[in-house]
Amino acid sequence: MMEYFVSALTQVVQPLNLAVILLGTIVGILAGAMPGLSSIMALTIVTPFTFSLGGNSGILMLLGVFCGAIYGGSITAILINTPGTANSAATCLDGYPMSRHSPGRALAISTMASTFGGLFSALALFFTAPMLAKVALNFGAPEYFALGIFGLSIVTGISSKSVFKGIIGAIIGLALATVGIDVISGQPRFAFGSVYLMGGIAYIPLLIGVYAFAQGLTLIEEKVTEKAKKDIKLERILPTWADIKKTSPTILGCSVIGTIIGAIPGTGGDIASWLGYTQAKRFAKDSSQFGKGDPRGIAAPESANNAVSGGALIPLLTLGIPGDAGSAVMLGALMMQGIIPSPLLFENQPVQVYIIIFGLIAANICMGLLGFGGIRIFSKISGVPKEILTPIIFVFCCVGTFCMNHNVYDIFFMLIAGAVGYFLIKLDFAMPPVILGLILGPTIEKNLQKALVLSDGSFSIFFTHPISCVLIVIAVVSLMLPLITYFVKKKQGKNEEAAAE
Amino acid sequence: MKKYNYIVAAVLLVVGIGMIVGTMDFPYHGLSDIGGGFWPKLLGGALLLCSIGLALETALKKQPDEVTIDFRSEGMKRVLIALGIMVVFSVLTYILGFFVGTFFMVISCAILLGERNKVKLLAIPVGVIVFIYVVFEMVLHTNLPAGILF
Amino acid sequence: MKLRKIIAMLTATAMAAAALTGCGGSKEYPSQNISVICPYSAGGTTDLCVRGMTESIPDGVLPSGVNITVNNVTGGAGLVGANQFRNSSSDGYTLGIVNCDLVLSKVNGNTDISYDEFTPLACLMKQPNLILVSADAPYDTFEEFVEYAKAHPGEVKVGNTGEGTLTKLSAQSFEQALGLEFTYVNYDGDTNSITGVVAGEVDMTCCSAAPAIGQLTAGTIKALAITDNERTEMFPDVPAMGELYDELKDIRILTWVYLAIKNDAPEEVVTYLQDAFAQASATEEFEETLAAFSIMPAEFEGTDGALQFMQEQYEFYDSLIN
Repeated sequence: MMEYFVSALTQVVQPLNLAVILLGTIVGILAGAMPGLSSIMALTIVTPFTFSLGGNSGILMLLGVFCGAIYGGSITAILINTPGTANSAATCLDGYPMSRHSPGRALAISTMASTFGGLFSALALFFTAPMLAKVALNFGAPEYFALGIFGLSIVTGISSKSVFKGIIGAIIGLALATVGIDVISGQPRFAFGSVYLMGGIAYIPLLIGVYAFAQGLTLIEEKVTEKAKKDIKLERILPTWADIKKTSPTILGCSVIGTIIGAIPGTGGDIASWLGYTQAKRFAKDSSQFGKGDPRGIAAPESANNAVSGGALIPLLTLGIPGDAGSAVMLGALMMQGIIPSPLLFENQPVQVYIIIFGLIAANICMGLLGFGGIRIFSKISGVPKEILTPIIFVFCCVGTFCMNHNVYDIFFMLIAGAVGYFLIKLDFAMPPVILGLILGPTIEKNLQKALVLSDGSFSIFFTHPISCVLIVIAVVSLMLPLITYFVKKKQGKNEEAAAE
Repeated sequence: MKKYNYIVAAVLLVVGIGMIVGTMDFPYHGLSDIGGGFWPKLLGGALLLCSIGLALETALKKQPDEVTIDFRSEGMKRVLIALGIMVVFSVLTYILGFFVGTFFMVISCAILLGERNKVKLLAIPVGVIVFIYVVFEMVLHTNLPAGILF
Repeated sequence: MKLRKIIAMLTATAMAAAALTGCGGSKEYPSQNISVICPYSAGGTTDLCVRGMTESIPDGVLPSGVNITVNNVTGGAGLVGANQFRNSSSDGYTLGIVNCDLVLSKVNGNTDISYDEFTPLACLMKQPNLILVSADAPYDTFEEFVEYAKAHPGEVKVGNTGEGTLTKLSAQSFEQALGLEFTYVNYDGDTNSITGVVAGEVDMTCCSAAPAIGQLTAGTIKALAITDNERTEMFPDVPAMGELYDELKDIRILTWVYLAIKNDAPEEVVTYLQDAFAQASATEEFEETLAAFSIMPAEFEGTDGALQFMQEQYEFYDSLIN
């Protein structure tokens, strides 16, 4: 066993391999940071280069990009309230408020949480992969349906002052997901004969539109003069002991959440980060600062989303099913190197597996070093005058949208979505439920149909399967809770009014 | 906000009905074979309920409007101009290509936000375009839209 | 004065922009990345074939800096990707797939895209499907499975990749001929349907060897037969369903995939690509890749031969379904 260890380790620490990991991580962070560029895009673009590298270097480079991109999104989320990737949408909530007075602290917490989450999941991959692979196997149609509903319910719970508007947002997202060719019957739905719409509503243009572009519009509306920003002193780049102590439990818990979500095929950082955030808020002794700059509000989503990296590799390696969209791109590269996904992979090709794990660990360490080292530079971004920054953000929105499918109509769609999103945000309709509705919509519908086929038309299947039952119950309760409290409060209010008269 | 809430509710109502009607002729063979129309109808129905609920919630809310969209305010005027810029950008990009559109868009947005320094107004779009050209066209071989004229 | 300055600036810009965009124009093919639209998810059979071929093109065939990238556009039993392929530009930089699923969808009337709108460039795969069941199923041979299915009509659940796909047709071909009754459960890709068999969610699935090999060697699933009338070299111990049952001796369900390009692409492009792929398929690297993925090497019959094969398959599916 030790020989495999040593063999894998010596391969990973070769100069060439370390260099490509570093390079990959840098590319990943840059791609993740720029709103409009996503980790999938970065991976897709880098993949051809990795083939010419040959051997394990290619895979190691991809691992670097994979990890870096998840982290990179947090940088812009914190500094300019525009998540670089969907994984970091939750980070905006507390990251941006904190960055207005101490950007360095926010970035430090985010880097620390991300690195820990990534390392944790790499170790989880190492120790628990076969076990977690069984978890993936237990996820059948009813479980996926329940998970989708659960994922949506938690996001609607925290997004806006009106839970109702959150639910509406989620349903809008689900409705948007129905546009396109129906996977069950092969017929087009709501396409109005347009070829563009037959492909369905791509979530990247929508994401870029409602997060980045709408945020740009908000900047235009506010037109804040930036002279004050130059006076912000940059504090230490490492997190303070107080912060470390405060966020440790959160980071640990959310890393577990992220690893498990990553291990479930088809779910990724976007869900993990929201789940982490809501759980952190729910279990916090004093949750009053959430949304205003609570360090745990930054640590939670960031550790959860980076923990997805190791988790997502588990079903990828053992079942050949990617744990999230990013690892899907890696699958081809892995198979090219002769790594055949199989439950016995850990026994049959141990050296290869250890190389991946060590590579992941190395990538996370690089990411941490780059992150901390770059804090000073990154903070300067928030000092760039908005007159210059805003148009640049717009340009990257357009370029990034176009790069996905090389379709100019995507850009137009992004602009429209952004404009509508901007107005909806002003009306207190939060956008995260819409995005998540769009992402989860196909999963929910497909698995509803499949589950009903399996149960021959009976809805009881959702309740006879334990995991599915639990998830649905929690989902319903968390949705009903605010409504119930609302009605209870109203009644109390009425009683008080009546008593006062 | 009340006014806009009603508008949104009305839109949701229309969309909900549209979803139900639009999938009328999808096959449905009972719950064990729900076909492609079941889920959209379900969502359409949910949207209907939501639109009614939203209208009710708005009507019953006794607190005064916290958020108003004042289209005449400075900020909103800027936003509307920005949207206009985007429309022009789209047309320019479609006809003349990405670089022309982007050049126009960057300059106009910067002016809109208050930048008046002529050197900066020229340098920034050029800088951005060069950067994108180098990174995306040369290194990554992506073909940015070249418009129908090129 | 100001107006003149603005006009001068705009003219200069327009000229600069024209120069920049014009740069992309008249170079030799290929002068930029070529993309292949793969209508199935990454890691699935089709995707692996495509990547195997595109990665095996010998150095020096493509100009430096030019890569062939794979763009996965999934959904609708391959139709979403097929539609995108058909509507892509004809400049020769977008390739796609013509496969059994596309022809089958046309036979079923789900699409009007016809295989003869495209020119085949290379044959990536042409092999029968494996009939797979869970390792601890109560049947060890194909005959035992058929008996079980006869005794439990409607209860045997078959995983497949959707209406109008070959994985479903494979099961339907012997379902009809032997008088059985299956319940069909849809999955997103053949890897997922195999996981369904392993997890016990469904009882059987039919797909090609590539996505199954990991689980087969791990022993979590077993192959009962292949959907052909003769055994294959790759699995000499797996019987052919045609040799076991007389009713099945004329049925050959093959998963076949061709790389293709739209008919209106320039002719030099077609010749160039066919040549490049022919060189790729002759390399040792390609053979090793195929072997690693458990894909059997397939001959490319040339444009006309390939189109003829597709025509025959179309008529065959038509006869099975209608």
